[in-house]
Amino acid sequence: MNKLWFRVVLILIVVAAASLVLARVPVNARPPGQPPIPHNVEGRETLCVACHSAGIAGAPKYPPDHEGRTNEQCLFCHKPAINGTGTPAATTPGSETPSVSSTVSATETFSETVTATTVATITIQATEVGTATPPPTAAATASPEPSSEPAQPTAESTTTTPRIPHPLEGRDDCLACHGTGAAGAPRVPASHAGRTSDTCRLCHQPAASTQAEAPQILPTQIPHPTVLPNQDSCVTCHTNLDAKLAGPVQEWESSIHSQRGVTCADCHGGDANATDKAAAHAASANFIGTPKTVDIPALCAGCHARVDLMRQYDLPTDQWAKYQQSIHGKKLAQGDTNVATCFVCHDGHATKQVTDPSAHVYPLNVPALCGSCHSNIELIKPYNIPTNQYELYVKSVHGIALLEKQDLRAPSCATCHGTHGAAPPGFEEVANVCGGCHTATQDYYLKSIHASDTPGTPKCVTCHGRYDVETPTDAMFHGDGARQCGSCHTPTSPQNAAVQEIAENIEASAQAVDQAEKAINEAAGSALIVAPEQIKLADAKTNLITARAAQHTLNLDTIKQRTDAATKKANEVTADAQKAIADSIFRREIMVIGLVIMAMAIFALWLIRRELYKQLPPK
Amino acid sequence: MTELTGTPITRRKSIQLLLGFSIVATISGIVAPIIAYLIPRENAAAYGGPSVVGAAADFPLNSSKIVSVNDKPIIIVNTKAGGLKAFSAICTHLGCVVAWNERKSIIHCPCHDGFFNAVTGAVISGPPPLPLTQYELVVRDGQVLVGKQLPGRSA
Repeated sequence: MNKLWFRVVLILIVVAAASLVLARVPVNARPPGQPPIPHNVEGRETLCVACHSAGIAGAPKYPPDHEGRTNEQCLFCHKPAINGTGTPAATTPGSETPSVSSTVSATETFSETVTATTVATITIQATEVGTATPPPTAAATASPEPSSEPAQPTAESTTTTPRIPHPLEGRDDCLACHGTGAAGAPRVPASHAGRTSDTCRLCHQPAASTQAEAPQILPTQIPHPTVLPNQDSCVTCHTNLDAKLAGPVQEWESSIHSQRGVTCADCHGGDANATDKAAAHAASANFIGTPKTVDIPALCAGCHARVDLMRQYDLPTDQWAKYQQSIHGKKLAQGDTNVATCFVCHDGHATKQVTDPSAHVYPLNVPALCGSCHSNIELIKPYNIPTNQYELYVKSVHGIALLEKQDLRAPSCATCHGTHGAAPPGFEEVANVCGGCHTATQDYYLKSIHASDTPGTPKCVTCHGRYDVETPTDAMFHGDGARQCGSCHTPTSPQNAAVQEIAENIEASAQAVDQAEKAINEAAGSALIVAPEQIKLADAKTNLITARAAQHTLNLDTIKQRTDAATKKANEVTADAQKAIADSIFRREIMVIGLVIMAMAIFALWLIRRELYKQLPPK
Repeated sequence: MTELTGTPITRRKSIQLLLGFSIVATISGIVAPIIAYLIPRENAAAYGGPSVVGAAADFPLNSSKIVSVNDKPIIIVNTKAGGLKAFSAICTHLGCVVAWNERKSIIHCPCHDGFFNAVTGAVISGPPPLPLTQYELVVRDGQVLVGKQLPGRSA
């Protein structure tokens, strides 16, 4: 009896889960038959190709015809099995059923579950297993309460991959411990042979609690000795030393710190009132000498994180807190001294205000500042990140606006990546980053299906690029190249038909506006007054431009409303201008005819006059 | 004899007059518009003088209206901070026609979210490179008159 109940409940639940999954799959989103993603996609959106091209970690290799597709494209067709949290949709209950008492190794399920090809087939398999195979599955046998088991496979089958229970800072080399079992670390299973430390975190994610365990470093408290103006013995002595020791003094003299009374001893310690080197550099005078690179941020924060001290300068005090959250700060905390510190970006000893155009952190200088490290192939090599960002950026619309047009409103690296908290924005965050400036476009975009939180839906960067953002053109609607609609929507898809309809409307409208502009210019060239038509043309252009922005909604009605208005007004302008030109031609013709008639009349009168005068008797 | 010679002289004279009149009429037909063009017509609305755009009551507080002054679209705004003001309604970014944002009491360009201060025409945010051009506005006998462009940095 128990067995029968178990089967019935199991079938019902599996069917319910499968129908839930099917209901969540957008009807027109993709051609049917794409295998769903059986694992957690969070944090792996940019890693599809890394595993699935080579078959790392048991990942199935993608078919040859998928060559050249990007990570973003994978997620357009392949959706997470249930909700993107890593829960497989429905797999063979035996291998997947989690149980508190289960001892089945969960690490292997990732590669096993990917063998399922479609949601539909999974359902069938699951049902078959449920009916044909009696309950004694691995989990069921391990559990003392078989009747309570069937609810679990779909409810919380999250045992796929063990999470990392410890902090990760400074522990990049997983295999150093897990390869040998050092310090009680569980050894990697035999099936993991050949994997490197770089691939572990593609599957194993840190447990949530470990991420907040970063040690908190407090700003360095250093004494700020009173130094009488012009009696700073540091300056007096170092000025007379060699270039290496005198250089910092010269730089400091040009800095904002020297202008505001921040002296050498404030950062380097020591006694600036002492008259000999030994006393000035005495340990009892808290002499630091050259601070260690890892200590610099906390040293600066000793003043710059103090609200009471910074208020008078109207300076923020969160730089240090942000820095610790930045990639630079995290790497520095791990002992990596190649990263940018306060000293690197803020002109060393010659610290300048951000408003000083000669400061490295002045907006116009920021791209070159970041590029000074990030374009350095040798320096960046260990981090396995690209080095061509600056090269791409300078040719982008943003780079041209900032560097060529000197428009300070244009974004530099820091605008999108942050300054003190510098880190690349996540794929899901991009719309908000771009939307910080492109507000109108963001409003429209957020209304579109593209903006849904389904992993893989295109974000700004999918169509516009990251560093090399170009001026968008109507060509993006056509073709299947990178950044074109066709790169995701196949020619026969309903989405492509919608794209073409949007394109047709916008292009027809643009053509009408162009034509109207030409007609107006022609009329203006004929010395006709076209101001009223120009107002109308401005209105048509307004509608066309808003239509171009509104195409981010993907809603044809919204777009058509604007393109129709633009086309109608543009056509009116063309008609008006052409009529004015025709009128003008007609008037000129009439004038010429009139003048000819008048000339003829004058000539006739002159002839008559001559005849009459001939009749006069000679005087 | 006087009678005999008188008639031909009258005919000649009349022909002479007709000929002279034709020439003068033709020339003046050409020259008159040129002279008319050269004479400045001050205070005429069509030549840049103030023109009535409506009654003051047509522009309630925290509202705006786009009117045509000398064939140019002008946005008349009425704010608590600055009262009645007139600005060019053409956005300095790409030439779109601006609109009024009632909730924020600022001028808004719908194309790329350019926002302009409704008291000074200055750019608040967005891509416009320059402020909106301000026009002279006076209220006389309950009538709102918009006159010439005010000096300042403008497109």
